[in-house]
Amino acid sequence: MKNITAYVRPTTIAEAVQLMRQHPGRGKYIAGGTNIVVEKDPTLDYLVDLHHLGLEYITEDDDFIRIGACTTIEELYQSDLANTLASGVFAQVARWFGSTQIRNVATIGGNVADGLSAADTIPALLAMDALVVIVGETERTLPLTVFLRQEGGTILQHELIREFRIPKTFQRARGTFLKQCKTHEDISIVSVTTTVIVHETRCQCVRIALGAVAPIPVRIREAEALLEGQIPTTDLIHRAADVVVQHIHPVDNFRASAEFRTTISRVYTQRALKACVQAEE
Amino acid sequence: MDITVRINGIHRQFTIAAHETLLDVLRREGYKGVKHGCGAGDCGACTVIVNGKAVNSCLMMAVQADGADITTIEGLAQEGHLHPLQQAFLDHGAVQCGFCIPGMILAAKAFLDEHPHPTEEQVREAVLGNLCRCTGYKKQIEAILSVVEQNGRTR
Repeated sequence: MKNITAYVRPTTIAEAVQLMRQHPGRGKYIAGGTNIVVEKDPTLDYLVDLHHLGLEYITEDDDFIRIGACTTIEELYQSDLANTLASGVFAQVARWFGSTQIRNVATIGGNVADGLSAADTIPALLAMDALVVIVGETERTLPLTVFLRQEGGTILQHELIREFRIPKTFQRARGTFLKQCKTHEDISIVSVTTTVIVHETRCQCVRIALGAVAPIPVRIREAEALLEGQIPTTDLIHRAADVVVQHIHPVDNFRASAEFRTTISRVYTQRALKACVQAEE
Repeated sequence: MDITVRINGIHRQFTIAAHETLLDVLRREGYKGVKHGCGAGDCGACTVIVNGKAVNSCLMMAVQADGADITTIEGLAQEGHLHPLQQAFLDHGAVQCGFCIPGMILAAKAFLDEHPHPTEEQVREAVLGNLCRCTGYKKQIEAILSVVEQNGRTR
Protein backbone atom coordinates (compact mmCIF):
# COMPACT_ATOMS: atom_id res chain seq x y z
CA MET A 1 0.00 0.00 0.00
CA LYS A 2 2.90 2.34 0.54
CA ASN A 3 3.12 3.04 -3.16
CA ILE A 4 -0.46 4.23 -3.51
CA THR A 5 -0.23 7.71 -4.97
CA ALA A 6 -3.84 8.27 -5.92
CA TYR A 7 -7.12 7.56 -4.16
CA VAL A 8 -10.07 8.48 -6.33
CA ARG A 9 -13.70 8.76 -5.34
CA PRO A 10 -15.94 8.56 -8.41
CA THR A 11 -19.60 9.40 -8.09
CA THR A 12 -20.92 7.26 -10.95
CA ILE A 13 -20.30 3.65 -11.90
CA ALA A 14 -19.31 4.70 -15.41
CA GLU A 15 -16.66 6.99 -13.96
CA ALA A 16 -15.38 4.21 -11.69
CA VAL A 17 -15.07 1.73 -14.55
CA GLN A 18 -13.36 4.29 -16.75
CA LEU A 19 -10.84 5.03 -13.99
CA MET A 20 -10.06 1.34 -13.65
CA ARG A 21 -9.57 1.04 -17.40
CA GLN A 22 -7.59 4.20 -18.03
CA HIS A 23 -5.76 5.37 -14.92
CA PRO A 24 -2.02 4.81 -15.27
CA GLY A 25 -0.49 2.04 -13.23
CA ARG A 26 -2.13 -0.82 -11.35
CA GLY A 27 -5.29 -0.16 -9.41
CA LYS A 28 -8.02 -1.90 -7.46
CA TYR A 29 -11.55 -1.11 -6.43
CA ILE A 30 -11.90 -0.59 -2.69
CA ALA A 31 -15.11 -0.81 -0.71
CA GLY A 32 -14.67 -1.74 2.97
CA GLY A 33 -11.02 -2.48 2.36
CA THR A 34 -10.76 -5.17 5.01
CA ASN A 35 -8.93 -7.50 2.61
CA ILE A 36 -7.01 -4.97 0.54
CA VAL A 37 -5.62 -2.94 3.43
CA VAL A 38 -4.43 -6.09 5.20
CA GLU A 39 -2.74 -7.39 2.04
CA LYS A 40 -0.55 -4.27 1.84
CA ASP A 41 0.20 -4.96 -1.83
CA PRO A 42 3.20 -2.78 -2.77
CA THR A 43 2.47 -3.11 -6.49
CA LEU A 44 -0.75 -1.07 -6.27
CA ASP A 45 -0.57 2.49 -7.55
CA TYR A 46 -4.12 3.69 -7.05
CA LEU A 47 -7.43 2.82 -5.43
CA VAL A 48 -10.93 3.54 -6.71
CA ASP A 49 -13.37 4.05 -3.86
CA LEU A 50 -16.84 2.57 -4.34
CA HIS A 51 -18.69 4.27 -1.48
CA HIS A 52 -20.22 7.08 -3.51
CA LEU A 53 -21.99 5.04 -6.16
CA GLY A 54 -25.24 4.36 -4.35
CA LEU A 55 -24.61 0.63 -4.07
CA GLU A 56 -25.51 0.23 -0.41
CA TYR A 57 -29.08 -1.04 -0.24
CA ILE A 58 -31.29 -4.04 0.41
CA THR A 59 -34.54 -3.91 -1.54
CA GLU A 60 -36.97 -6.21 -3.29
CA ASP A 61 -39.07 -6.47 -6.40
CA ASP A 62 -41.70 -9.05 -7.27
CA ASP A 63 -39.22 -11.85 -7.89
CA PHE A 64 -35.95 -11.03 -6.13
CA ILE A 65 -34.33 -9.68 -3.01
CA ARG A 66 -31.74 -7.24 -4.34
CA ILE A 67 -28.61 -6.49 -2.34
CA GLY A 68 -26.28 -3.70 -3.41
CA ALA A 69 -22.64 -4.70 -3.60
CA CYS A 70 -21.55 -2.12 -1.02
CA THR A 71 -23.97 -3.38 1.61
CA THR A 72 -21.98 -4.11 4.73
CA ILE A 73 -22.02 -7.47 6.47
CA GLU A 74 -23.47 -5.76 9.57
CA GLU A 75 -26.33 -4.37 7.48
CA LEU A 76 -27.01 -7.89 6.21
CA TYR A 77 -26.91 -9.15 9.79
CA GLN A 78 -29.53 -6.65 10.94
CA SER A 79 -31.74 -6.65 7.85
CA ASP A 80 -35.23 -8.06 8.37
CA LEU A 81 -35.74 -8.19 4.62
CA ALA A 82 -32.51 -10.05 3.82
CA ASN A 83 -33.27 -12.51 6.60
CA THR A 84 -36.63 -13.47 5.14
CA LEU A 85 -34.43 -15.69 2.96
CA ALA A 86 -33.69 -19.26 4.08
CA SER A 87 -34.76 -18.70 7.69
CA GLY A 88 -32.18 -15.98 8.23
CA VAL A 89 -29.11 -17.67 6.78
CA PHE A 90 -27.47 -14.25 6.25
CA ALA A 91 -27.67 -13.54 9.98
CA GLN A 92 -26.10 -16.93 10.66
CA VAL A 93 -23.23 -16.11 8.29
CA ALA A 94 -22.78 -12.61 9.67
CA ARG A 95 -22.67 -13.77 13.26
CA TRP A 96 -19.48 -15.72 12.42
CA PHE A 97 -17.98 -13.09 10.11
CA GLY A 98 -15.06 -11.45 11.89
CA SER A 99 -16.01 -8.93 14.54
CA THR A 100 -18.43 -6.00 14.73
CA GLN A 101 -15.57 -3.72 13.68
CA ILE A 102 -14.97 -5.79 10.54
CA ARG A 103 -18.67 -6.21 9.73
CA ASN A 104 -19.28 -2.46 9.97
CA VAL A 105 -17.11 -1.84 6.92
CA ALA A 106 -16.70 -5.13 5.03
CA THR A 107 -19.09 -5.51 2.11
CA ILE A 108 -20.78 -8.46 0.46
CA GLY A 109 -19.49 -7.25 -2.91
CA GLY A 110 -15.92 -7.20 -1.69
CA ASN A 111 -16.22 -10.62 -0.13
CA VAL A 112 -17.50 -12.08 -3.40
CA ALA A 113 -15.21 -10.11 -5.73
CA ASP A 114 -12.10 -11.29 -3.90
CA GLY A 115 -13.20 -14.83 -4.68
CA LEU A 116 -11.25 -16.49 -1.89
CA SER A 117 -11.68 -20.12 -0.93
CA ALA A 118 -12.90 -19.30 2.58
CA ALA A 119 -15.20 -16.38 1.68
CA ASP A 120 -18.22 -16.80 3.93
CA THR A 121 -20.92 -15.01 1.96
CA ILE A 122 -20.34 -16.98 -1.23
CA PRO A 123 -21.71 -20.37 -0.07
CA ALA A 124 -24.93 -18.74 1.16
CA LEU A 125 -25.35 -16.96 -2.17
CA LEU A 126 -24.67 -20.21 -4.03
CA ALA A 127 -27.21 -21.99 -1.83
CA MET A 128 -29.85 -19.46 -2.91
CA ASP A 129 -29.18 -19.48 -6.66
CA ALA A 130 -27.96 -15.88 -6.54
CA LEU A 131 -27.47 -13.84 -9.67
CA VAL A 132 -24.79 -11.19 -9.84
CA VAL A 133 -25.11 -7.96 -11.82
CA ILE A 134 -21.77 -6.65 -13.06
CA VAL A 135 -21.02 -3.42 -14.84
CA GLY A 136 -18.17 -2.71 -17.24
CA GLU A 137 -18.66 -1.18 -20.64
CA THR A 138 -22.06 -2.85 -20.49
CA GLU A 139 -24.12 -4.28 -17.70
CA ARG A 140 -24.82 -7.99 -17.52
CA THR A 141 -26.52 -10.38 -15.13
CA LEU A 142 -25.22 -13.88 -14.64
CA PRO A 143 -25.55 -16.76 -12.21
CA LEU A 144 -22.98 -16.64 -9.42
CA THR A 145 -21.84 -20.12 -10.47
CA VAL A 146 -20.75 -18.70 -13.86
CA PHE A 147 -19.20 -15.62 -12.26
CA LEU A 148 -16.89 -17.64 -10.01
CA ARG A 149 -13.88 -19.45 -11.46
CA GLN A 150 -13.28 -23.05 -10.47
CA GLU A 151 -9.58 -22.38 -9.96
CA GLY A 152 -10.38 -19.49 -7.59
CA GLY A 153 -11.20 -15.85 -8.16
CA THR A 154 -13.87 -14.46 -10.45
CA ILE A 155 -14.27 -13.43 -14.07
CA LEU A 156 -14.09 -9.72 -13.17
CA GLN A 157 -11.53 -7.64 -15.02
CA HIS A 158 -12.37 -3.95 -15.12
CA GLU A 159 -15.98 -4.52 -14.11
CA LEU A 160 -17.45 -4.00 -10.70
CA ILE A 161 -20.37 -5.71 -9.02
CA ARG A 162 -23.54 -3.66 -8.82
CA GLU A 163 -25.82 -6.00 -6.92
CA PHE A 164 -26.86 -9.53 -6.07
CA ARG A 165 -30.33 -10.83 -6.84
CA ILE A 166 -31.75 -13.73 -4.86
CA PRO A 167 -34.93 -15.44 -6.00
CA LYS A 168 -37.75 -15.01 -3.52
CA THR A 169 -38.36 -18.77 -3.81
CA PHE A 170 -35.82 -19.07 -1.03
CA GLN A 171 -38.08 -17.27 1.41
CA ARG A 172 -39.76 -20.65 1.64
CA ALA A 173 -36.51 -22.48 2.40
CA ARG A 174 -34.92 -23.38 5.70
CA GLY A 175 -31.23 -22.48 5.72
CA THR A 176 -28.36 -23.50 7.98
CA PHE A 177 -24.81 -22.16 8.02
CA LEU A 178 -22.18 -24.01 10.03
CA LYS A 179 -18.61 -22.78 10.27
CA GLN A 180 -15.61 -24.51 11.75
CA CYS A 181 -12.96 -22.05 12.89
CA LYS A 182 -10.30 -21.79 15.58
CA THR A 183 -11.79 -18.73 17.21
CA HIS A 184 -15.09 -16.99 16.73
CA GLU A 185 -13.71 -14.30 14.49
CA ASP A 186 -11.24 -16.36 12.46
CA ILE A 187 -11.29 -17.51 8.84
CA SER A 188 -13.28 -20.66 7.99
CA ILE A 189 -11.55 -24.01 8.20
CA VAL A 190 -14.70 -25.45 6.64
CA SER A 191 -18.11 -23.93 6.15
CA VAL A 192 -21.29 -25.74 5.15
CA THR A 193 -24.44 -23.97 3.98
CA THR A 194 -27.60 -25.88 3.16
CA THR A 195 -31.01 -24.67 2.09
CA VAL A 196 -34.00 -26.97 1.77
CA ILE A 197 -37.61 -26.50 0.74
CA VAL A 198 -39.73 -29.41 1.91
CA HIS A 199 -43.13 -29.89 0.29
CA GLU A 200 -45.47 -32.61 1.54
CA THR A 201 -42.63 -34.49 3.27
CA ARG A 202 -40.35 -34.49 0.18
CA CYS A 203 -37.41 -32.24 -0.67
CA GLN A 204 -38.57 -29.90 -3.38
CA CYS A 205 -35.32 -27.96 -3.53
CA VAL A 206 -31.95 -28.76 -1.95
CA ARG A 207 -28.75 -26.76 -2.09
CA ILE A 208 -25.49 -27.75 -0.44
CA ALA A 209 -22.53 -25.35 -0.62
CA LEU A 210 -19.15 -25.64 1.07
CA GLY A 211 -16.44 -23.08 1.69
CA ALA A 212 -12.72 -23.54 2.28
CA VAL A 213 -12.58 -27.02 0.77
CA ALA A 214 -11.76 -26.02 -2.82
CA PRO A 215 -10.10 -23.05 -4.56
CA ILE A 216 -13.53 -21.35 -4.51
CA PRO A 217 -16.72 -22.16 -2.55
CA VAL A 218 -18.66 -24.86 -4.36
CA ARG A 219 -22.10 -26.40 -4.63
CA ILE A 220 -22.13 -30.19 -4.50
CA ARG A 221 -24.84 -30.94 -7.05
CA GLU A 222 -24.34 -34.69 -6.86
CA ALA A 223 -25.33 -34.64 -3.19
CA GLU A 224 -28.24 -32.32 -3.85
CA ALA A 225 -29.52 -34.69 -6.56
CA LEU A 226 -29.57 -37.56 -4.09
CA LEU A 227 -32.07 -35.68 -1.94
CA GLU A 228 -34.25 -33.86 -4.44
CA GLY A 229 -37.74 -35.33 -4.67
CA GLN A 230 -36.99 -37.70 -1.81
CA ILE A 231 -38.09 -37.96 1.79
CA PRO A 232 -35.06 -36.70 3.77
CA THR A 233 -34.42 -39.65 6.06
CA THR A 234 -31.39 -39.72 8.33
CA ASP A 235 -29.90 -42.48 6.21
CA LEU A 236 -30.31 -40.46 3.01
CA ILE A 237 -28.79 -37.39 4.65
CA HIS A 238 -25.78 -39.43 5.73
CA ARG A 239 -25.38 -40.76 2.19
CA ALA A 240 -25.55 -37.21 0.84
CA ALA A 241 -22.79 -36.19 3.26
CA ASP A 242 -20.68 -39.08 1.96
CA VAL A 243 -21.21 -37.83 -1.58
CA VAL A 244 -20.12 -34.34 -0.50
CA VAL A 245 -16.87 -35.73 0.84
CA GLN A 246 -16.18 -37.49 -2.47
CA HIS A 247 -16.42 -34.17 -4.35
CA ILE A 248 -14.28 -31.83 -2.29
CA HIS A 249 -10.51 -31.29 -2.37
CA PRO A 250 -9.46 -29.72 0.92
CA VAL A 251 -5.84 -28.87 1.54
CA ASP A 252 -3.47 -29.01 4.48
CA ASN A 253 -2.56 -25.59 5.82
CA PHE A 254 -1.69 -23.95 9.09
CA ARG A 255 -5.34 -23.79 10.11
CA ALA A 256 -6.18 -27.46 9.62
CA SER A 257 -5.28 -30.66 7.84
CA ALA A 258 -7.12 -31.95 4.80
CA GLU A 259 -8.17 -34.96 6.85
CA PHE A 260 -9.76 -32.78 9.51
CA ARG A 261 -11.52 -30.69 6.91
CA THR A 262 -12.89 -33.83 5.30
CA THR A 263 -14.22 -35.12 8.61
CA ILE A 264 -15.81 -31.78 9.47
CA SER A 265 -17.35 -31.49 6.00
CA ARG A 266 -19.10 -34.80 6.47
CA VAL A 267 -20.35 -34.07 9.98
CA TYR A 268 -21.42 -30.50 9.30
CA THR A 269 -23.26 -31.50 6.12
CA GLN A 270 -25.19 -34.05 8.14
CA ARG A 271 -25.96 -31.53 10.87
CA ALA A 272 -26.92 -28.73 8.51
CA LEU A 273 -29.28 -30.88 6.47
CA LYS A 274 -30.87 -32.31 9.59
CA ALA A 275 -31.37 -28.82 11.00
CA CYS A 276 -33.05 -27.74 7.75
CA VAL A 277 -35.46 -30.66 7.53
CA GLN A 278 -36.30 -31.18 11.20
CA ALA A 279 -37.73 -27.70 11.39
CA GLU A 280 -40.34 -28.74 8.90
CA GLU A 281 -41.84 -31.34 11.19
CA MET B 1 -4.38 15.54 -0.02
CA ASP B 2 -6.50 17.06 2.73
CA ILE B 3 -9.33 15.58 4.71
CA THR B 4 -11.67 17.31 7.13
CA VAL B 5 -13.11 15.43 10.07
CA ARG B 6 -14.87 16.09 13.32
CA ILE B 7 -12.85 14.43 16.08
CA ASN B 8 -14.31 14.37 19.56
CA GLY B 9 -16.56 17.22 18.57
CA ILE B 10 -13.82 19.42 17.15
CA HIS B 11 -13.41 20.19 13.44
CA ARG B 12 -9.93 19.33 12.21
CA GLN B 13 -8.25 19.35 8.84
CA PHE B 14 -5.40 16.96 8.17
CA THR B 15 -2.94 16.78 5.33
CA ILE B 16 -2.45 13.13 4.53
CA ALA B 17 -0.87 10.85 1.97
CA ALA B 18 -3.14 8.63 -0.11
CA HIS B 19 -1.63 5.43 1.29
CA GLU B 20 -2.08 6.28 4.98
CA THR B 21 -4.51 4.48 7.24
CA LEU B 22 -6.72 6.29 9.71
CA LEU B 23 -4.63 4.75 12.48
CA ASP B 24 -1.45 6.28 11.04
CA VAL B 25 -3.03 9.71 10.83
CA LEU B 26 -4.73 9.70 14.23
CA ARG B 27 -1.57 8.73 16.07
CA ARG B 28 0.49 11.24 14.09
CA GLU B 29 -1.99 13.95 15.03
CA GLY B 30 -1.60 13.16 18.72
CA TYR B 31 -4.44 10.73 19.46
CA LYS B 32 -2.16 8.24 21.16
CA GLY B 33 -5.03 6.44 22.84
CA VAL B 34 -5.61 4.76 19.47
CA LYS B 35 -3.22 1.81 19.67
CA HIS B 36 -1.33 -0.06 16.98
CA GLY B 37 -1.74 -3.70 18.02
CA CYS B 38 -1.71 -6.09 15.09
CA GLY B 39 -2.21 -3.67 12.22
CA ALA B 40 -4.33 -6.35 10.52
CA GLY B 41 -7.84 -5.88 11.88
CA ASP B 42 -7.66 -8.80 14.30
CA CYS B 43 -7.02 -7.35 17.76
CA GLY B 44 -9.24 -4.27 17.91
CA ALA B 45 -6.74 -2.15 19.87
CA CYS B 46 -7.06 0.47 17.13
CA THR B 47 -10.86 0.69 17.42
CA VAL B 48 -12.38 4.13 16.99
CA ILE B 49 -15.98 5.17 16.40
CA VAL B 50 -16.63 6.53 12.90
CA ASN B 51 -20.10 7.90 12.19
CA GLY B 52 -21.45 5.96 15.13
CA LYS B 53 -19.87 2.64 14.21
CA ALA B 54 -16.91 0.89 15.80
CA VAL B 55 -14.23 0.24 13.18
CA ASN B 56 -10.62 -0.94 13.12
CA SER B 57 -8.73 2.22 12.20
CA CYS B 58 -5.80 0.13 10.96
CA LEU B 59 -7.98 -1.11 8.13
CA MET B 60 -9.56 2.19 7.16
CA MET B 61 -7.77 4.31 4.61
CA ALA B 62 -7.53 7.82 6.06
CA VAL B 63 -9.20 9.20 2.94
CA GLN B 64 -12.28 7.12 3.71
CA ALA B 65 -12.71 9.13 6.91
CA ASP B 66 -13.10 12.42 5.03
CA GLY B 67 -16.17 14.20 6.34
CA ALA B 68 -16.66 11.72 9.15
CA ASP B 69 -17.54 12.16 12.80
CA ILE B 70 -14.87 10.33 14.81
CA THR B 71 -14.64 9.51 18.51
CA THR B 72 -11.43 8.39 20.16
CA ILE B 73 -10.94 7.52 23.81
CA GLU B 74 -9.67 11.04 24.39
CA GLY B 75 -13.15 12.28 23.64
CA LEU B 76 -15.09 10.26 26.17
CA ALA B 77 -14.53 12.20 29.37
CA GLN B 78 -16.56 15.40 29.52
CA GLU B 79 -15.20 18.37 31.52
CA GLY B 80 -13.11 16.13 33.74
CA HIS B 81 -15.85 13.60 34.35
CA LEU B 82 -15.18 10.09 33.15
CA HIS B 83 -17.71 8.42 30.90
CA PRO B 84 -19.75 5.77 32.78
CA LEU B 85 -17.94 3.03 30.87
CA GLN B 86 -14.55 4.39 31.88
CA GLN B 87 -15.64 4.67 35.50
CA ALA B 88 -17.09 1.16 35.45
CA PHE B 89 -13.87 -0.33 34.05
CA LEU B 90 -11.95 1.29 36.91
CA ASP B 91 -14.49 0.34 39.57
CA HIS B 92 -14.52 -3.30 38.43
CA GLY B 93 -10.76 -3.73 38.20
CA ALA B 94 -11.08 -4.41 34.48
CA VAL B 95 -7.79 -2.72 33.53
CA GLN B 96 -4.41 -4.44 33.80
CA CYS B 97 -1.83 -3.23 31.29
CA GLY B 98 -4.44 -1.00 29.71
CA PHE B 99 -3.44 -1.48 26.08
CA CYS B 100 -6.71 -3.02 24.86
CA ILE B 101 -8.89 -0.77 26.97
CA PRO B 102 -9.44 2.27 24.74
CA GLY B 103 -10.54 0.06 21.86
CA MET B 104 -12.76 -2.08 24.04
CA ILE B 105 -14.47 0.87 25.70
CA LEU B 106 -15.15 2.48 22.35
CA ALA B 107 -16.53 -0.78 20.93
CA ALA B 108 -18.77 -1.06 23.99
CA LYS B 109 -19.85 2.57 23.73
CA ALA B 110 -20.76 2.31 20.05
CA PHE B 111 -22.74 -0.83 20.81
CA LEU B 112 -24.60 0.53 23.86
CA ASP B 113 -25.45 3.75 22.04
CA GLU B 114 -27.39 1.60 19.55
CA HIS B 115 -28.52 -1.16 21.94
CA PRO B 116 -28.93 0.24 25.45
CA HIS B 117 -30.52 -2.92 26.92
CA PRO B 118 -28.62 -5.92 25.60
CA THR B 119 -28.20 -9.41 26.97
CA GLU B 120 -24.82 -10.57 28.26
CA GLU B 121 -24.39 -12.67 25.12
CA GLN B 122 -24.93 -9.61 22.93
CA VAL B 123 -22.38 -7.64 24.96
CA ARG B 124 -19.82 -10.44 24.54
CA GLU B 125 -20.47 -10.46 20.80
CA ALA B 126 -20.03 -6.68 20.64
CA VAL B 127 -16.49 -6.79 22.06
CA LEU B 128 -15.48 -10.05 20.41
CA GLY B 129 -13.15 -8.06 18.19
CA ASN B 130 -11.21 -6.59 21.12
CA LEU B 131 -8.56 -9.03 22.27
CA CYS B 132 -7.07 -8.81 25.75
CA ARG B 133 -3.93 -10.70 26.69
CA CYS B 134 -4.08 -9.82 30.39
CA THR B 135 -7.47 -10.36 31.85
CA GLY B 136 -9.66 -13.16 30.53
CA TYR B 137 -12.45 -10.64 29.86
CA LYS B 138 -14.56 -11.42 32.95
CA LYS B 139 -14.27 -8.05 34.68
CA GLN B 140 -14.58 -6.11 31.45
CA ILE B 141 -17.88 -7.79 30.65
CA GLU B 142 -19.04 -7.20 34.23
CA ALA B 143 -18.10 -3.54 33.91
CA ILE B 144 -20.08 -3.12 30.69
CA LEU B 145 -23.07 -4.97 32.15
CA SER B 146 -23.00 -2.69 35.19
CA VAL B 147 -23.43 0.27 32.85
CA VAL B 148 -26.30 -1.54 31.13
CA GLU B 149 -27.90 -2.01 34.52
CA GLN B 150 -27.39 1.65 35.36
CA ASN B 151 -29.03 2.59 32.06
CA GLY B 152 -31.94 0.33 32.94
CA ARG B 153 -32.43 1.95 36.32
CA THR B 154 -32.38 5.46 34.94
CA ARG B 155 -34.91 4.69 32.18
